[in-house]
Amino acid sequence: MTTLDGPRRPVWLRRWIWGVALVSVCCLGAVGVVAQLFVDQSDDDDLNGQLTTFGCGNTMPVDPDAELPVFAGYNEDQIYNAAIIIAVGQDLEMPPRAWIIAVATAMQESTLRNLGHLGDRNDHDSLGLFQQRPSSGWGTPEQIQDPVYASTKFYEKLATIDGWEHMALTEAAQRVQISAYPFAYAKHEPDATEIVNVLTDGGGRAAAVDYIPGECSAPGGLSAAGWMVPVEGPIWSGFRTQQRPTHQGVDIGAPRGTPVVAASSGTVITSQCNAFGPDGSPYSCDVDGSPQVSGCGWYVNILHAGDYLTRYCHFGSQPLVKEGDVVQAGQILGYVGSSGRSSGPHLHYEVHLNGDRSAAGAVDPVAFMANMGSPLE
Amino acid sequence: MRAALRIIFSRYGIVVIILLLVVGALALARSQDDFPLGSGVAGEETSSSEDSSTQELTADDGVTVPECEGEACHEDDSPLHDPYEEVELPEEAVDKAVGFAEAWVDTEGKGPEGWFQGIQPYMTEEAAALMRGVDPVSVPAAEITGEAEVDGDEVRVPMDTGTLVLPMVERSNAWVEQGWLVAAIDWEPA
Repeated sequence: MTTLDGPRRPVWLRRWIWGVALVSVCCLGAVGVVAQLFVDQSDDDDLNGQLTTFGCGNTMPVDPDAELPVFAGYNEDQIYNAAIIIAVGQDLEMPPRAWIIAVATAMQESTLRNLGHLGDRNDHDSLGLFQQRPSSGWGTPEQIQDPVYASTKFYEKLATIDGWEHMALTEAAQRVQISAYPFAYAKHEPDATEIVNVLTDGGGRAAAVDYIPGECSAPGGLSAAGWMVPVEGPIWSGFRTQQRPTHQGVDIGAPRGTPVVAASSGTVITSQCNAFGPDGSPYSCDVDGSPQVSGCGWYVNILHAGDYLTRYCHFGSQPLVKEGDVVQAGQILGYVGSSGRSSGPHLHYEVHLNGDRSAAGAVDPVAFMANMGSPLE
Repeated sequence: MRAALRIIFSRYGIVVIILLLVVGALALARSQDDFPLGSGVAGEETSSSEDSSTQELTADDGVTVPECEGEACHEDDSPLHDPYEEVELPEEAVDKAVGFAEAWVDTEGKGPEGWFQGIQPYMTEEAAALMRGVDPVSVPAAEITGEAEVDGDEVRVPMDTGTLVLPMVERSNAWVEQGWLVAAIDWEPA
């Protein structure tokens, strides 16, 4: 025995000390990890829960004969036909934007049913999923009633139309169908996008142009669902935050004069000045506002397919678009400014559902845009 | 010195050091969470304009509905009109929509050009651009079967096989200077 060892403690004490040490280290580490997970989780739920839940398309082709998911409002046969339309598009190497256009078109023309001759009710000799007509050279009645043939013909004609990728869905569909109701396809865009997203693991969130299977749309680019960010910049203030529970949109910081573009194609339903001084009297939108001024300043409302409505506030000068204008995704609406209730140049951006312009219709633009494949920030 | 080192490198010392490390790492992670980009900027905003009340800074910077009473508030070009007010379509808009619907179903013996000339005066130029070249045989209805109904900014015309839905807008074309015109043509099969 040497003196360096010192007095030996009883065995029970040594074990107890090591036990406490082990438990403290392990437990604290575990608690820390769990706490960290919780913090991360809540962030994800608020900001990009949609992104983490879904992908941006995959490289696996859709198999219509596999067991397909159930969609409210559509039966098995309809979803089977939608899957065929998508699978043909994948086979022809058409991008997801084309699948969405094709599915929405078939929803209007045949409610996704492979229609035979409808007798007196028939729209002349129209047949099949896309109601194509043998007399217009689409093919023989037998061919047109083959969903694979009909879908192939649809895509082949779509591909010949210049700039179809950037067109509003209803315009691209009309260029193929040349129907007597050119705006009827728009209302099916949300359902068609959802079906494509579910069957292809988020194909609608991939890029509309220069599509790479499985890759999300690049920031600032047009997504296959037809959406893009109105202006690029950091989010200064979120939707209905604890500090600003009545804040019905997001504030995106951007330098004065930055172009603000339409987030998706649609119709301008409002383009005007909304600003009031502290006494409630009308205030100019051609000068910078302040936190004491109330209102949106120079602003624009756009109504989109599916009754989505977007609002863009605080333009520095009168918007370039006027009420009734039909705009395409990416079209410049005006320039970032600071009119109305604003302490510096920024875009206040709102998204509403069901065409409801009031606060009751507003939803979180961050979650909405992430789901449309054009995340903000 | 030796005594201190001995305490630090003893089992107890090492346990304490590990505990400190773990607690320190946790505290660091916490403090980073407290300063994400958003709240950092919001904090700056508050401190830089202390003269304004917090209410002004936290209020919504979206659309404000003005407090206004009297006739002038309802005029569309008044800055005091209610921005959420739904504008009821006037009789003129409904008449124009019905005129379009009559021309739209009137396909008997008409080729694409003749039929298009019948509907063109009722439409905006944008809508007309998408109707050019349409073969009238693709009109899915034969006759109007009831009274037109107004739904928001749309006129709904009932027909034998479905409903023709016509959103209306005030616009100019080659025939009218700022009048009500058909902005889009939608079809709901029965």
